[in-house]
Amino acid sequence: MRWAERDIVLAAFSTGLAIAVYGVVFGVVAGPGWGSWRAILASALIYSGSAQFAAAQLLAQGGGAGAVISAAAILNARNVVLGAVLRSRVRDGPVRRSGVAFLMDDESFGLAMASARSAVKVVLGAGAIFFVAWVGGTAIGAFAGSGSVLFADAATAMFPVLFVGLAAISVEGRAGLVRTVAAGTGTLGLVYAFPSVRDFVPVAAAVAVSLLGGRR
Amino acid sequence: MSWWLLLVLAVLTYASRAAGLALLPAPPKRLERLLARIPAPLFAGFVALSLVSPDRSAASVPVLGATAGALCVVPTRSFPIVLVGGMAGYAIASALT
Repeated sequence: MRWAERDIVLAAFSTGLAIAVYGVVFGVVAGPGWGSWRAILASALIYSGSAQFAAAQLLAQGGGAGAVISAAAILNARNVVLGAVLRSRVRDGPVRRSGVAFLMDDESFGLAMASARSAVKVVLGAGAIFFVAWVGGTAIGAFAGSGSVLFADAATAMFPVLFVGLAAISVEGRAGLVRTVAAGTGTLGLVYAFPSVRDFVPVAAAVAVSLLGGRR
Repeated sequence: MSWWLLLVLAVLTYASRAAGLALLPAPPKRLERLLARIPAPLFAGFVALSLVSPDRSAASVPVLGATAGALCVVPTRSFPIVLVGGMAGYAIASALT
């Protein structure tokens, strides 16, 4: 069972709204130290919330370039796995896949995997919405300042809701349900126990449970 | 944030996305079956990740409420309903705190 186009469009716009709010928060955090235009350009070129927030935090604490690059490398490592999973649903050539790769983040990947439509079209469509939301939000935050982050907590709530929905639609069979619950609870425990490697945990747990459980 | 560091981060991030999607060949059937199992557990992991902060504290009560509300209507397998469930959970938890 996969989501219909209507559900994907609704999910893309509601998630885009939450991403815009997060972009505002990033603009507020990074704008004063980096300069407004540099913060906006960072969102447009890097286009990775986790890597950008980590860089802002490390630089604000006096961290050097080596620490920032190492953190970004660690945070981005999971993209390799997401790309490999998405690759199994993409038949386009390498040039088109290279273009699609820029817009592949956790959310566009999730919608592409849940959609009955072409994965490439979903990543491009939803990814474009998310990109505009992220860069536009950064611009608002960088220029408007801290008065613009009133809805940050509500935006935070959007992400687990989105992924609950994506998990629900992606589960297939009883074995799949068991693996999904195991990955969720396992991640919860491991993230709490090992906060320094928290960004690796979901991918590691998902790969681990996927290796178990026979042929289905 | 210097310009060169910004560019390094941009290249690094793009390379990580392109490595799996653009550079790898299509996976063999057996690996494809394994990869097809990953999304749902991965999404469940992302849910869990959003519920614990880097400092090990739990997410805010409204965020937990939104997650609980969404989980309650999971059997419908409908995103609009999951969204409404999440919003209702968020509103109820916000009202109670």
